[in-house]
Amino acid sequence: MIASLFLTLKLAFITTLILIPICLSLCVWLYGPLTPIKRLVLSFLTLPLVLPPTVLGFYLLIFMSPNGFIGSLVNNIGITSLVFTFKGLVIASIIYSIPFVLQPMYASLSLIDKGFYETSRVLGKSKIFSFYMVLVPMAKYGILTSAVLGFLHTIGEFGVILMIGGNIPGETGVASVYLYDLVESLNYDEAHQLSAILIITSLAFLYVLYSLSRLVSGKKHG
Amino acid sequence: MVNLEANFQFNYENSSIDFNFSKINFNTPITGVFGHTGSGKTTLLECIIGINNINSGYIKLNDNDLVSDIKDTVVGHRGISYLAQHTYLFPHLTVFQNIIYPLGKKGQLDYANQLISMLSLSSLLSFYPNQLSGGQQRQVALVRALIAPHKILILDEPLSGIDKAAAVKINKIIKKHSGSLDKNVLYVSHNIYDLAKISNEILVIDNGANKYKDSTKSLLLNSEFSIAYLSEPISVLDSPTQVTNHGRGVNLFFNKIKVTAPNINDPNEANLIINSTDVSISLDKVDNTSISNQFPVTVIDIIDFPKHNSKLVILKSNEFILQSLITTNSLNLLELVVGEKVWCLFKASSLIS
Repeated sequence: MIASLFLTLKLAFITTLILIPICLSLCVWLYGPLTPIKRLVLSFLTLPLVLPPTVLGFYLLIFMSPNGFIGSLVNNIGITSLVFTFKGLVIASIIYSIPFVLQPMYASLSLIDKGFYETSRVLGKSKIFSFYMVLVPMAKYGILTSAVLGFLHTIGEFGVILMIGGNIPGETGVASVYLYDLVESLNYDEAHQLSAILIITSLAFLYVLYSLSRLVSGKKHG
Repeated sequence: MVNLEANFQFNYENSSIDFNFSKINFNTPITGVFGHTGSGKTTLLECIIGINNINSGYIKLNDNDLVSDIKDTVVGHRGISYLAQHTYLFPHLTVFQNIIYPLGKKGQLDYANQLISMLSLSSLLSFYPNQLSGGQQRQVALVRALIAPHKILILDEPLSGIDKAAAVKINKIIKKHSGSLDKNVLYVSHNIYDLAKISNEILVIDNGANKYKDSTKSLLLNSEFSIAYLSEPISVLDSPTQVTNHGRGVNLFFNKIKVTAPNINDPNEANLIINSTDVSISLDKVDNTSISNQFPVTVIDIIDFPKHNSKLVILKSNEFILQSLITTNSLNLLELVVGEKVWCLFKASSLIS
């Protein structure tokens, strides 16, 4: 059980760490008027939010197989197999959790009066400099929220992992899948313990997040 | 020197304005941009700067088409610094960090420090913008805009919401900045007094077009302009030949004429302005009066001023021209005619700096 929890946290942590810069870069590009191409990309990246995880898992399984698009791509850099490996889980989690990080991040950046960004541009700073030195610090709470949501959502991932990861202890046997096995084998005691730990962990993260939000908004009006 | 030419259409949410500017040269350090609220001033500026994009047509600055010649149509690379009506100080940076924001690694920190001490902002440097008053925020934003290394500075209503003492300081800095650093300032305001005090020439914008452009002094003597735009005409007294201080005020000498004025900052620098309703006319010299300023002048014109059903009398001495707004009754009583020699009178306190 401990191994599955540790693996879950490791997966969630790595996924979040990779997703934050990816989503920030996407936001740099998305910032400003939503052109048709931006709308299309945004819709596409929101798909994992609405699709059944099994649909996503099915396509990922195909793409990540050694002859698939992603599989043959990583084959070039020496990674022979993604399916049923931890690396595969990371890639799948990144794709699966993108909307949960991108949406709150994009929303909080778009909510900032664009005059601040324009002022930075007028003062002679580049788009990227203005984005990271003005918008990102001003949206830091929104970005923190997106990181926490991405992290927690990865912890809660089940369907996709079952499709492409299986349940290999220490490699792909994360907590959610391990729990499924426990219930299947009628080991209710351990299932109770694992569920409780997951609930408490997620609850604690969300509680801290909302406490921070109170602090941040309190500072604004003070 | 800067020149501007524009011809474009701008679409608002449910209306559009055609901007049609024939080529204008800005020859002087400070050009006032005057127009009523809704005349298109801010829209024009935002299109020049690049915050607003024009839908069709062109804007040329120094003969460069800002939209097609310069690849990055947005801001920053057009060489224009801008102080918007909203200060947009960055809330996560301290006052000092805000001020030096435009500077690169080898920026002119000296100039920043000079401006900071001129505006007495030193004690506020470690504060955050939300800890400052509106007037202080505006001063910080002004310093930040002045520090940006651009040749042209556009200030949109820089004195709105500012108390008088701060306004004097701000005007002084703008004047110093434009004079010493060879920069062109466009000073936008709907308040003719603010413009008369500081600008060398004034551009009048109406409905997207340049209606007038003239030196401040001449424009204010243009009765067609006064009648159309001002509730009361004003005159400018500038460039005194000598200034002496006498404790409670100053004496300004325009050659042989001595004008008494209240204590004013930099009487050599400031344009002194006077409302036409504060200038009265007498046929003879008045003795035993509290009014400190009294000069012989000649009536050179009498114009109908429809707004108050009154007459605008233009008075000329060898040194300056003043305008006096009097009722039609008074005019009839004095039986004033053009060419007549009369006395004009005004209180020292009616001179505004």
